Amino acid sequence: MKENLLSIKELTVEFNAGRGRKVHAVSGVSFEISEGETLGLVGESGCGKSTVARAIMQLPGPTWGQVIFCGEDLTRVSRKRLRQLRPCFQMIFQDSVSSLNPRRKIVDTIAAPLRIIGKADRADRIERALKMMASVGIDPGACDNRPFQFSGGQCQRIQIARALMAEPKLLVCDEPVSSLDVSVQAQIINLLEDMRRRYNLTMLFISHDLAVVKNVCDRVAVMYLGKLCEEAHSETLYSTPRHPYTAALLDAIPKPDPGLPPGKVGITAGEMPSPVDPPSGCRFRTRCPQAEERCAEEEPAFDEIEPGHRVACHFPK
Amino acid sequence: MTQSPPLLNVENLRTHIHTDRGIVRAVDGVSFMLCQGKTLGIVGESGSGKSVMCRTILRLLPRTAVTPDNSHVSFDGHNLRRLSEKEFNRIRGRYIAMIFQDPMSSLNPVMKVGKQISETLSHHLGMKRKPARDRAMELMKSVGIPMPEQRVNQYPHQLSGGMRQRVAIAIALACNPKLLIADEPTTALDVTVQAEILELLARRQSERNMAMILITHDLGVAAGRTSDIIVMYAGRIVEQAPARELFSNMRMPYTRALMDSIPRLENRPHTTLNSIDGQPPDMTSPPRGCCFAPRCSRVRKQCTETEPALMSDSRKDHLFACWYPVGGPAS
Repeated sequence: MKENLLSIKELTVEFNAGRGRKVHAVSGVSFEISEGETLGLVGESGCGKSTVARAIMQLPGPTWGQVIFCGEDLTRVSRKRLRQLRPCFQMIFQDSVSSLNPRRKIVDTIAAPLRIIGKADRADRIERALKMMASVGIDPGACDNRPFQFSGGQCQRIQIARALMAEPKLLVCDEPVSSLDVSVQAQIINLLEDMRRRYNLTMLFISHDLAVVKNVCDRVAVMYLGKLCEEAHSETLYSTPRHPYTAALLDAIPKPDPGLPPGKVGITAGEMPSPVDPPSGCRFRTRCPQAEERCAEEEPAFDEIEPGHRVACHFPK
Repeated sequence: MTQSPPLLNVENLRTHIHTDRGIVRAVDGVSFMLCQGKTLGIVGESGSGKSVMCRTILRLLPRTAVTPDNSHVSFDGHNLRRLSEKEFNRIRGRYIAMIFQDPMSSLNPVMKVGKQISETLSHHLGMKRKPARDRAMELMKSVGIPMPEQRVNQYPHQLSGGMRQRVAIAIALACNPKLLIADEPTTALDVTVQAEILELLARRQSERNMAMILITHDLGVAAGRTSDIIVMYAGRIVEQAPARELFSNMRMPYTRALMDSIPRLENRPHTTLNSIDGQPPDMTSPPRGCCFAPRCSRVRKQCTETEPALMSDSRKDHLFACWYPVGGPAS
């Protein structure tokens, strides 16, 4: 059994919503990622995926709960120690264009992590940045250009280069491909896979697209309204989803074959309830096709129903 | 069976955009027809000219975009290119409506959504304030917005992305248009919401026998929802066929490559995807010969010298622009 690089325990994030109310963005999420593994975190917008990512990155940290990275609890360590650890965990953001400083030459953007952690002198930093550019597929000759001169896919490559400069162990990818075309999406997924192998990265891969996640992740956790509802190895989750929400997400994927019926939504239409006032019992019950009285009264535990497969449902399929 | 005359007929449409870097040939000689009740899918990467083409039809482009006089667009018997701006305003939004990709920027942020829907009704149909408001609520209900009596008084920022797109659809459908142009209507949305929105559009379309153009970069979205598909690359049509025919028998290497780059649910974790290397060409100076040649895996000498025209073989309704198509040469 490989050692856990990252383990999150009872992660909870709440925001103040004014008038004494609270947004329960993430409520008691626990999972582990072992070294070299890629975990997918899936869910609709607003379910708290990105908040989990930010809580792990301490941007800002969680309201309570533990983020244990390489044996140290990031929520407890001193600011100085956190700064020392930061190079080991890096993040890629969804909107690549707005995550790059528009006024900075990209070579400086890519070299910035080295400057901040105080590694290498300027000439060395630039040289390493140029090498990194080449390895992510950006022409080093374009190093003096600024972000607006690049397409969305290229900006995503620049962002990946920046994140890898510090030689992290853990890479948190927050919807890295969701604003891209399918063709560019495939390029970026391949690049991430390449880099994962080359740098032996451990990844947390956040996406709302289950098809993308299947191609990238060893294990998948499905999130709904601030809680995990299912977690399993990719093959298991996709072949035998046990939670009705996972099944609904799988059905909604458009299938590139006109002979098959188009993606349908198996769950009650409407939106996710507000995280300010989440439903009692099972949080998914308001949209669940098979909700019963018990679902409103009692919250289902997130239990293992077979080794490595956890589900939070009273009536798993 | 007699064929009804096409609702929309586009012939040799060109759009040239004047920029500092030179003339961008964004749309370069596109022709197609669309009949009532049919859905046409237009598929291609960003920058392939899909959106510019539809905006050209609706005359929604800035003055720097020029369409030469030999381009022809007729809609329901009218020659759209000849109409004055005033005459066109009576068609746009009334008979041809459009839904945009980003519902946040296509809605007015400082106007209540109910007002934005009823505005269309009073402008085109001359409805009075009260009945227009009631009709707006009916429309909101019909596009699946719960509690329209409350939502009608909300601003776009108070709605989620999916709800905003539903408002945009309600505005587009307000006047029962004959043609609906949906420009990447679900790209900014989650898969579940995407499925709901596409389902909603399909239902409304069949109820009203409306024609629809669905623009998307995802062949998966186009697959189940369209009757015919046009694949665009670098401002041109590179393949055109009925949906079923296209998916069972892709001829253009570009279409095949687009299809192969879709991540599949059957794939095992860490599968390398078949991506298309490189980027679409710079349209201020397109390459000689076939525009896709620099990225094509089947490229040969002829491809870089002469540009292939749209051709067909045994199936006359399946057109493709390739010298060496997938599955054997053209007859």
